Amino acid sequence: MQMPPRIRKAALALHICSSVGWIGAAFAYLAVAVAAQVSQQASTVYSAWMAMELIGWAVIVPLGCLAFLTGLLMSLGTSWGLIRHYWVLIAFVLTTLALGVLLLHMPTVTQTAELARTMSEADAVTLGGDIVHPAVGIGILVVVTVLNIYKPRGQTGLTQHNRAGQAR
Amino acid sequence: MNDVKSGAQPGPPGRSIRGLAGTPRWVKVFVVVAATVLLMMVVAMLITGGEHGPGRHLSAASIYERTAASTAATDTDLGGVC
Repeated sequence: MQMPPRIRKAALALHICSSVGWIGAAFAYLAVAVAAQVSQQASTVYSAWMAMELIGWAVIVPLGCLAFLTGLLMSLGTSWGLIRHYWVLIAFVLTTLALGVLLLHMPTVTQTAELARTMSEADAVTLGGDIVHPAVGIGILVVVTVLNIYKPRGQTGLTQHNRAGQAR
Repeated sequence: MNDVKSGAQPGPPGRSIRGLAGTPRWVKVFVVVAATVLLMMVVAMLITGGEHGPGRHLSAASIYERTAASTAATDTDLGGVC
């Protein structure tokens, strides 16, 4: 099923904005996480966890879901297909992985933020930050972005429409 | 980002059906690197005790304090029966 050009461009614009926004928000989350990790002040650690919870649920999760859905729409609604080309398939798997880990991890962030609210100042400092998840997430999203820009050659052979797709 | 119009697929023609031998080199390299990174992450998680939740943000001292406080409260509630 091919999307009409106007709808395709609108979906592409939405996909680029949400994907790039996702990466930007992940960098903002990482900056706050580093602040929580290195700070020796309980108020900074407490504020950082509140900010991580807010950025995560209010910005990263919606953008991640939007990027995933628009990516799915762009692949299924164009001749690229979802499993026809290696780069699309790998980008889809990596995006699904990143979004899955994000959705599984955010309740932990909420729990830790709740913990920070109830802890004494001495304990709050020991909470540290949440650096690994955003760092790995950014790495995955950058790989996906590079794949989307370079579109390296190679077809999977998993569909019947490969020859037709190449002819387009 | 799947811009079909500006990104004409540069794939070689006539290679629609292929086995693993026909897989592009960049895909093979990618899979090896991804598997290595995944393995390293699993090993790192096992080495650090496999703790993967809010508990990993708590130091051993604070966990001990909380456990001790909780135990003391339970003992008080039960009148030292346990």
